[in-house]
Amino acid sequence: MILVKDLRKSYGARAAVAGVSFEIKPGETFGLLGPNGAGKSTTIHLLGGLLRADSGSVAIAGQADPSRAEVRRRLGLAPQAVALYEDLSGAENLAFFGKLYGLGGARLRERVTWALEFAGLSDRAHDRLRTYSGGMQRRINLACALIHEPAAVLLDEPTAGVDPQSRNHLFENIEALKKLGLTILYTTHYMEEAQRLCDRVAILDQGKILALDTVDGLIAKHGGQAQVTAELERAPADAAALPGKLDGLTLRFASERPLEDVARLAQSGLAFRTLHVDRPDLEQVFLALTGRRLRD
Amino acid sequence: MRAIVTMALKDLRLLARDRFGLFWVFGFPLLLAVLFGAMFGGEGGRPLKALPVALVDLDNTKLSRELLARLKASDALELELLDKNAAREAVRLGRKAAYVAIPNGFEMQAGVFGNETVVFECGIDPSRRAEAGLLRGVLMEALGKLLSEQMGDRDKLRSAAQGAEMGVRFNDKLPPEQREKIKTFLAQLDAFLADVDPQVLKQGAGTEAARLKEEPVLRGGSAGSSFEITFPSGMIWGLIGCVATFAVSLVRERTSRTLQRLRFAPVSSSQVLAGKALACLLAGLATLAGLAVLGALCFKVRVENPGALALAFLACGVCFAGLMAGIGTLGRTEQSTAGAGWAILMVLAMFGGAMMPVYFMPAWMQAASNVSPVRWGILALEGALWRGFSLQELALPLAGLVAVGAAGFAFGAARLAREEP
Ligand SMILES: Nc1ncnc2c1ncn2[C@@H]1O[C@H](COP(=O)(O)OP(=O)(O)OP(=O)(O)O)[C@@H](O)[C@H]1O
Ligand SMILES: [Mg+2]
Repeated sequence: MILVKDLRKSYGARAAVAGVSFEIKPGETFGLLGPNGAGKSTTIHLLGGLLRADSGSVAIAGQADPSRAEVRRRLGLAPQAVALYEDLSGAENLAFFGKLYGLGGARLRERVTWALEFAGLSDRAHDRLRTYSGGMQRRINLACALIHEPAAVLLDEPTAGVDPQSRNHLFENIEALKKLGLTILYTTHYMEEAQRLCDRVAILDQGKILALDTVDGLIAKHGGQAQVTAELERAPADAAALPGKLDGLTLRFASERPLEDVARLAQSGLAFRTLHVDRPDLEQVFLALTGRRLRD
Repeated sequence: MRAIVTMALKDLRLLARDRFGLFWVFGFPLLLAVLFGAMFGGEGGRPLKALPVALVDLDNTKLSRELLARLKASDALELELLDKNAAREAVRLGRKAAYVAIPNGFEMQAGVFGNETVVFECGIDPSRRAEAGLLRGVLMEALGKLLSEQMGDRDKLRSAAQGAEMGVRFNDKLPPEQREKIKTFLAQLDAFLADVDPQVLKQGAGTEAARLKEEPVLRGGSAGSSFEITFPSGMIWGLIGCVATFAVSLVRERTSRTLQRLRFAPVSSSQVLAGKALACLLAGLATLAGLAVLGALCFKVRVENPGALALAFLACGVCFAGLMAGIGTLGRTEQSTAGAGWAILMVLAMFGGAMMPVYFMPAWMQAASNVSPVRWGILALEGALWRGFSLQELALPLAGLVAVGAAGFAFGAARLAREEP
């Protein structure tokens, strides 16, 4: 659906996107995970034809050059900043952008109603946007990207700066879109979001993709071992036979297969008071790849 | 085209919701037109407030007091008799526009056979120099009348002739034969005056030398209210308000990132600009029409040629919508655009005569005003309102306006196309 080859874009001497290639299959949710300034927004703008690439190519559904209107018509964009008219109501904003996409009459009304419902804002449809809460604004920002029923949407940090409640609402929205079969490009610097929503994730840092795989694949390859921390009921008979380090009654060890190891220890007669397994996540993957944490 | 109209309607809706913005587009220009109109004097009555002038009488003779009385009678001046220091001080403090001193020896010099030019000392507030002309006119008129009346008064004339005869008799500088000739003439004159019927003399000399009969030059006939002189400026200010409002709203599309969304929508940058210009044009036309209707209903502004007025409106609207498109792409923030916009528009308005009448300007400015679209706009509006322009006469200003509009739009479109949203 979206094919990107060796995309490059520099601002002066600084390379914002430095040779990015990936392919998003139809119906796939593809994550771009990276810290501030990694080049996520720049990549999205290049994909949407809003920026001209220095080199490289983008194809949407087999058609090259997204700066052409017909190519872009198949895409929806929810920008990182809420980009709507504050003094128009939610319904008016939706109708306005719908009209720009050539919708009209009953079809337009239908789409506006759908979008308002999708955003959970039917009851606030006729209030001006400036009276919406931050979370509501982000929801209408997302809904507005869908008004013309695009085949693929580019979501630039759709949850940036929203409270947990709105975030959950947005997650449900995106999951609903996945069910509808939309192709989604999702950028974020929250690894939990990438982990929860994305089929495949590219880890982007300083304009380059460092790794690209399914979440499990990335963790298996770069995440290292799980950390097991256990408090024991009593001191073990044979401390030397235990894996890892024993510190008083606290046992810590690393393991590829933590649950199997714990089961084996329990069978050998070890009694646990508490048990804690830290599975490696994308945070560890990022740490392993860059030596830095995702958010410092 | 549909996208352009959709965007323009969206902008008009946004404008309608911005009360403060509405004021600048609709309220402010009306206020200005009415204010200027009232300033230039309601309905053709005496326009200006009387000029406050201090008079210093250093001569203090019968003639100087007569001059004083005449000046007092003029309703163009508001006179106060002061001594010289007080008069200077009053001008310096801005309480008087000027002072005039009747010089010592005035009666002698200004008498019928006075042989020196009378020099009035006149001190003027530098900020009111424009009004000095009025003062000079009133002073000269009063003086002229006074002297011509003296010529008509047999007794005064006789005593003046006798005084002159004395003067000549003891004037050693005159060659003796000249002196004799003058003496003979004066003696004859005295004999003539003793003989003549005073009434005839009065009629012969007491007429004014000349007088202006003022009449407005209009095709239709009599002048209407002074508001019709000021409403075209008011209309231009309405358009200027539109330009400032929509130029800022164009920048706001960028700063609030809706421009990005529009461009993605997909709308080309020149369509975005055209939508903005169309909104500006429609708002401008509404302002102009509103002012015209209000002017006609409440301020006796005549609309001689509605068809021509509609054309003038359209051309002015196109011109200013194009200017908006150019100005709106100059700055990258609302503040810089508002600043640059008002600066450019103020200069245009000033040179074009929307702030002060063109005839108040120094020559170089008048020359420059010939190439200001504001000037053409005012000319076209006046032409359609009351100057009774034919279509041919309107053609040049209208073409100039449309050309400026097109140039502004082309400039803006080129700038917007070059940058990435
Ligand atoms: N218009 C611009 N001019 C100059 N540099 C820019 C411009 N836009 C982006 N950059 C630079 O390009 C790099 C990538 O920016 P980008 O906005 O793509 O990051 P991002 O991954 O979206 O970050 P964030 O998570 O903060 O949104 C940054 O170093 C940024 O400073
Ligand atoms: Mg970003």
